[in-house]
Amino acid sequence: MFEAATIMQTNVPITEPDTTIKTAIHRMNSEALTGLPVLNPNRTLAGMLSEKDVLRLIYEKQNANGFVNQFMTIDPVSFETDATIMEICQCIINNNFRQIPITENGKFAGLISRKDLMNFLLRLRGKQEQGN
Amino acid sequence: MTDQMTKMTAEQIMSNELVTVTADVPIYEAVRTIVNKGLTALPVVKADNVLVGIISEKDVLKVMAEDKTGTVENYMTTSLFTMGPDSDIDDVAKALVENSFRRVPIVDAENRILGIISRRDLIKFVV
Repeated sequence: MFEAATIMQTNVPITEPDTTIKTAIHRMNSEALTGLPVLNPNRTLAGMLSEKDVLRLIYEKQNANGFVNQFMTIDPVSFETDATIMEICQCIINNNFRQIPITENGKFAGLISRKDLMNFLLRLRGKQEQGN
Repeated sequence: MTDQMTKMTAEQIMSNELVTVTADVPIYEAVRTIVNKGLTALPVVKADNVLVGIISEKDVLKVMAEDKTGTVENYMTTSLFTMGPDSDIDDVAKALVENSFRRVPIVDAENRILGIISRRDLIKFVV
């Protein structure tokens, strides 16, 4: 069984709860990110800031003032590095998530997105076809 | 909502460089198009670019996870929320905030696809 650690992206942009929301939105925009993990100083996961969180803020407020912790999704679903890839895939499908944060011993370790899963499943299918 | 957004129409901010697919295409061909072009979904069209569905990352991920085969028609979403080119951006934003979909296809009176507005398009526009 393949584990989360084998396909997760580890070098991902992150933000902090007390970063201004403007800074976080600019970062998401300039780096074309669909979500930003929000980490506490000890690298535990404080939340996730998604495109939908940002759009809601833009739609409901006149100004994007405040800090990330006021707008992020608190306590997002996460998996440990030894979770299976298919378990994560089912979770993403069932919950309409774009990506899932991965932790190791409770600390943020990386992200797995729909794209990562699609690439993995395509490679796996390619290998199976070569084997047949 | 910002003043900048409320004065705009869907047509002014939609992405109109569309990659589309037809319903009879094998599903794995659509998967490769989505992956290779870095897309999150493909509008499914028939003659004259009339929109008949959307095949999204989520749809194809399910196909792949369950190792299914077939054509786009077997897996596309056909119950679509669409808007016209003259729609107020405020209404597009509202739809994207209040629903789980990530994009709104913009169509003319004959349901021909003119463009798409995604969450990203709206955020990019405002920031």
